[in-house]
Amino acid sequence: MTFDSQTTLAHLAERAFRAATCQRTVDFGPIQVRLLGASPEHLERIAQPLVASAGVSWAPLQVVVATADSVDSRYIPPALRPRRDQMIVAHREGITALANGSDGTLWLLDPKRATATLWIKAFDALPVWEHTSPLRTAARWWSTVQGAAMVHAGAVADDERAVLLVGDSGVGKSTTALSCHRAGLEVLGDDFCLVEPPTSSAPATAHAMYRLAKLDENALNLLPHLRSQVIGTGWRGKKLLDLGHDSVASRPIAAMCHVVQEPNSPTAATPLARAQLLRAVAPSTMFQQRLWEHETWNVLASTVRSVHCYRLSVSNPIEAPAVLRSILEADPL
Amino acid sequence: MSDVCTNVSPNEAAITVSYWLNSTNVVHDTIDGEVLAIRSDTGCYYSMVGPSATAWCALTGGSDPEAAAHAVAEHHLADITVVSAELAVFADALVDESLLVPGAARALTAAIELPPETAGQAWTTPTFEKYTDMQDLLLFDPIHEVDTSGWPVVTRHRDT
Repeated sequence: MTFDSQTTLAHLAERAFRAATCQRTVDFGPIQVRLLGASPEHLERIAQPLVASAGVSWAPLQVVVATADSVDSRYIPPALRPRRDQMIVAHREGITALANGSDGTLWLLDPKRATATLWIKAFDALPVWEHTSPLRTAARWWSTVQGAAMVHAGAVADDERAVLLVGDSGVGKSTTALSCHRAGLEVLGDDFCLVEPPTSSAPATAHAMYRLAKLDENALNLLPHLRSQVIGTGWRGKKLLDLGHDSVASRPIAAMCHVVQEPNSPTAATPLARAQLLRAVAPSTMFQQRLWEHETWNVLASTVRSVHCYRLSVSNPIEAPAVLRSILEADPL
Repeated sequence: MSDVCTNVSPNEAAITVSYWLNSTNVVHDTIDGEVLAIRSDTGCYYSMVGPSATAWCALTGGSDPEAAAHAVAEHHLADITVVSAELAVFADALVDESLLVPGAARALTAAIELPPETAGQAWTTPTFEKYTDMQDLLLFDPIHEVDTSGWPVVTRHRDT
């Protein structure tokens, strides 16, 4: 069987659904997710890194995981596997199909049924980041459906508000965010968080997504007290840390910081033009939110307009928590 | 990482064409007087400040070209002849970047909204800064869209 004009996306989604023999419900940020699949172990591995964002609920989402092991292999459409350097998208029957040649995944996103279906040849063939931060594609899509966005930013918070940490990959967002762990602030995320834009009645809000964070060896040398929380090694050799929380409350966003490394300057925050902050966060977030760039832009622009913006110059990450606390204390909503 | 668009000297030709945002592939916003525009199909993004931000705002909404030039000249207390000529050159550069597309003018009565932060600033030749770091990533990892003719027949490349 090949995927051609006679093969419908709805048929593929239906095949996956019918092959599912077990299910579980898990809270993923503000999303209640009904997970279905053929293996309880797979569902457990998907659910384990997710954290709930207490108190806020978006519309529930159903996620179906189908593997060639669990479905008659005749139904695995060969043409759904693009070349390794390709990402292919198709819109049919109200369903968006996204096939990624680099990781071998096929997502079928059906807003009418509030269902995301993941086809993968074998569960262990999933790329390592899908094991440490699973369901990212589903989260990107569903956040867009909900008028929000998955933002490329770390986030730390006190009891009342959050600060988003943005910047290029490798600039030290994770190190800065994790320097706050066990330092009086809560880490909502080291690389991603879900952001709801402000409304007339509510400020912009950040939601945690994952309980796992990543640090390279150099950063662990700067933050040696976090070594006890290393549980393994992830993508590109980075150490995986279990932040240890099952549930993190959502927080209104008080400020956004563009993190830059400046080894010869004191760790400090200085006001930054909002347009410059938007320039620091929008391109990489939109690149990761492809297919939903325009919606993501609207969330980012309205969020940036509603918060204070800073340039956070970091020379020693140990000093960052005090600076971030001062921002939270200085910026009431 | 960034390129600065350097416009040629103003020619004698005044702006005579109306332009619209290429809304299929471009998102933009003006915050505190600075314009940020991103092409979602290529990943290139652009920054414009001061008179350049004014010029962008005047050009993106299908304004009557003469009315746009007058509004900008009044906003910056500048010579209308110079402004009109430089707007024409700037618009050509934005069209070359596929940020704007030429089109019919909207009604003359529609207001031209310009950023208040740039009012009264000395007029300078409008330019933009172009950033291409995301473009490199997008070209490395392109998305191909297919239609009802089937998969894997690729009908449109978003990386062009």
